[in-house]
Amino acid sequence: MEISDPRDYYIEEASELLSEIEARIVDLEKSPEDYELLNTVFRALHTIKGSGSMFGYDEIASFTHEVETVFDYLRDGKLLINKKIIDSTLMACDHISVLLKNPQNADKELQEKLVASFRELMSKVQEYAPHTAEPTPPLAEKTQEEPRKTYRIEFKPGREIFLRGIKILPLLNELSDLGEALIIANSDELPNLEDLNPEHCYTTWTAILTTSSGINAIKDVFIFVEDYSRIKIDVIDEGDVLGTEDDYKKIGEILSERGYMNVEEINKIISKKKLFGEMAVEQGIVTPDKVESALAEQKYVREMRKRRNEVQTGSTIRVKNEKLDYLVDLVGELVTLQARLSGYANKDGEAELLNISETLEGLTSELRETTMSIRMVPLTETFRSFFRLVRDLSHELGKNVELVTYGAETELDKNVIDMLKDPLVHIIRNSVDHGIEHSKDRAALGKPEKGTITQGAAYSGANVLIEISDDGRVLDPEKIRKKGEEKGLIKSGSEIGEHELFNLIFEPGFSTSEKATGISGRGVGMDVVRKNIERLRGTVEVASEKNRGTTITIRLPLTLSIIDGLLLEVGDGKYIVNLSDVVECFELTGDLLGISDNNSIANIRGEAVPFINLRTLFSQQDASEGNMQLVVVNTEDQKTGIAVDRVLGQTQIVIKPLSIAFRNVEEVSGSTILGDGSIALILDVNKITQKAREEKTSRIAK
Amino acid sequence: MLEIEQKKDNGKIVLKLKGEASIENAEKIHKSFLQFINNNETLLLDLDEVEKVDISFLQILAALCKTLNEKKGEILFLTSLPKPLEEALIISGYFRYKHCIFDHGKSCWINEMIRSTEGG
Amino acid sequence: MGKKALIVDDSASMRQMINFTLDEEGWEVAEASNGKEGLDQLHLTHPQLVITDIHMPEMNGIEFIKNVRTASEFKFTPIIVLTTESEKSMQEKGKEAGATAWIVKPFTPEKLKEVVKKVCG
Repeated sequence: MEISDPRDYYIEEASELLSEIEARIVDLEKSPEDYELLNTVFRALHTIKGSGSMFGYDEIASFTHEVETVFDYLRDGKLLINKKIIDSTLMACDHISVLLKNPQNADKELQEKLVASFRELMSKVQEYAPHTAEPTPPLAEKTQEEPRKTYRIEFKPGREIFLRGIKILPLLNELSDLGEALIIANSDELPNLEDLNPEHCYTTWTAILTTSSGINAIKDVFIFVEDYSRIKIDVIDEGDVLGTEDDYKKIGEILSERGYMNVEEINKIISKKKLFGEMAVEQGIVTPDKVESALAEQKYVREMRKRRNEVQTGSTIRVKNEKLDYLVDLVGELVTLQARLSGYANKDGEAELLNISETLEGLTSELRETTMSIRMVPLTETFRSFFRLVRDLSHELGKNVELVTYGAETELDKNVIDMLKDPLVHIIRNSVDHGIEHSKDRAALGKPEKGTITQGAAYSGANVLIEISDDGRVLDPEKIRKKGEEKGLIKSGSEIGEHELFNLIFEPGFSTSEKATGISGRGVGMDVVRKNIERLRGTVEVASEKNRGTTITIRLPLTLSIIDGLLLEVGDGKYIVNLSDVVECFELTGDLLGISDNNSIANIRGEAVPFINLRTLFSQQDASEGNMQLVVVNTEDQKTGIAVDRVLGQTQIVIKPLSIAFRNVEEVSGSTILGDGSIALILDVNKITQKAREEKTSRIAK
Repeated sequence: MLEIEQKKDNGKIVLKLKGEASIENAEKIHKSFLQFINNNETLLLDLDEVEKVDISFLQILAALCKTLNEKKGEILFLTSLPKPLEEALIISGYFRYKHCIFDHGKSCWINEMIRSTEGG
Repeated sequence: MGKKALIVDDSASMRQMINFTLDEEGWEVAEASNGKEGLDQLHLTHPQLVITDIHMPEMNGIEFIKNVRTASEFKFTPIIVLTTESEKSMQEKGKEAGATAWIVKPFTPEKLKEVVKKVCG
């Protein structure tokens, strides 16, 4: 369907209506009491006004309102038509026409004069109250964010509510969407099947809702049913009050608060010293449904309070970020100094000095870990904030999207989390915007109408993996290839795997258009995402598969600055791998190389492990001859070997950014200064693994 | 649109509902259920092809459940819990604590359904 | 089976705007410019949602709503009535006639979607 600007449509329509009004007015002169004629003019004016306000012609809307009011009264016989009205109306029509087509030429004075004359006419009508320019309601009513509170909402729809076209399930759904909700149906009043009027509503509901949307948002849910229902909303827990107790009201209190029981009845039961709810039912005071509903409320609030108190209590103090950062810096310096001492002590060989050095090493290591753990924060808050984001975005786009979370308890350095937020927002935005399809399109594809976005986190060795996946549109390799070729990112016709192809979306210049749609939309701003993640020494990848959807995986180091490393030597170069990635070390003997004719695959207990020779990788000419050592690392269940001259041992290191000279070496992620003042390069185990796999496959292919 | 098929299986009556089990068809559903609430009757229900469920249908089912329970009758379902019904039960709060709203023990078909879905 | 909606309004630009908005949401839309045509369309298209203006020639919105509600097929069909800020009384009249919900003009496509979602799910 070709949709032209609705404003053009409106101008055309209003012009037609204006000429209709003119024609009718002339007829009215002849038969002034013709109701149908008056009504036609009224309707035409009403439409000009109503549609005018819709399409942004506010001036026309407010001016036409004055004329419309006159015809409303004429129609009701409260005013009689006369020559003056006819003349003014015709002039008003001309004026509207000008406002419509050349608003800049509109005669303001004339407009005021006309308004004055219409108002004067009206002033003769008794009940007329001048239309004081009411503030037009703001078009988009934003719901105010309020402190989180828990409400009890009791909703008793009228028996005949279905006969008004009202559907209850969407309403309850809307209520649930406002926050965390517990909805309990009460069917006490439901009769036997014989007596049931299937078109009546017998069910009533109690909802316990924790939300920061405020009471008006809750009332808004019921706006179309409030006239035919009984609705009672109470705050049962003020989320901002720091309660030290997890406990909540007794069942009797809840039942009486809801008006199911009175004090006398309560006391009677308490005296029996039995389970309150059970007794209340036994004695026929309340129904089991009502007790169950009260129990549900009690359980819900208790659990919520418990959760909240776990967060708030546990005796914590707040510390300024800067102080923590400074502490980490100091620990870093201490670690470097300790490494120097340890180097010196080893060389010197004096027993007491060695002893002191070792003790200091242990303490430093503990101090380091404790310091780092102070800065570790779970992803909970970050993930939680995305529920709002997804809700608002999907609302705005008219999509039906559910956000699922796992592993929110995974912890990361606070600074990492802060810097991660923007890239994550961007990725989730892309998923809602370009990934998830509209419900009808999904239905046509045989997918569930509700799209699902999953955000999750998990530990993986020294890394944290964060995954954002969605079950929406998948990436189209052909389109990406075409685009990549267009942008000169790959050679046309070059053989390139799907994985590599998809990851082109992170290349700068892959998608620059702000208004990208469809497939390219996924790529918008992804280069910035990658840049931000790399700044955190992390990596980002995308995988996309039909039936499985699209997953963006971010891999981040657990900590920003200090790690336990394994120091390696090749020629006169020193390298570090993160100790937690290392599985084992071997002497690289002929036995290990048995199955390999090209020195790239080792046979470890029957398992073929590809390896990378650092001598080759860093072109160390002066490398020593003889057997090498093989360090086996494990990333995501893939073993890879790194062949080096010597393994020097374990050491704590402070990660420093790379000097410019190494920025282009993919396999290196950072550097560090060793105790003796020399520099060691930190190897990126993931990149090395990837490289080893690629070489393996390319060899096998040959 | 709603179709109700009725057939006999081993002497027992099987009712199959196909389509929209919603307020527009509430009267029709109610009528067809009313025939089977005699004493000690076992009714087999097939809801596998129900596409839409609303409160009116939940009410009818609950009333049927309640009535048959009183009359020592029984409903058995032939399929696992259909998606639209499951969703409606959850949203509406009828699926409370993973129990049937009437919580009347083993003969309840909602409880049965929950068991069957949990068992895979 | 697709969702069908019927829009009854004498303003073509209003109809177009609503039609376009609902179309985006996956509705199949029928249009009528007054209550009488509306009733014809109603029995022709069997919609699951009716949106109607009030002031229209031939048959106004209030009469139209009453007619829809009394047809047994449409006893439970959601009806949204369009009113203006200056006519609070029309909201009441619409409700009396059997309307399910209302939208006050001027409104944005988003507001329309919101109300439709509220009413139809």
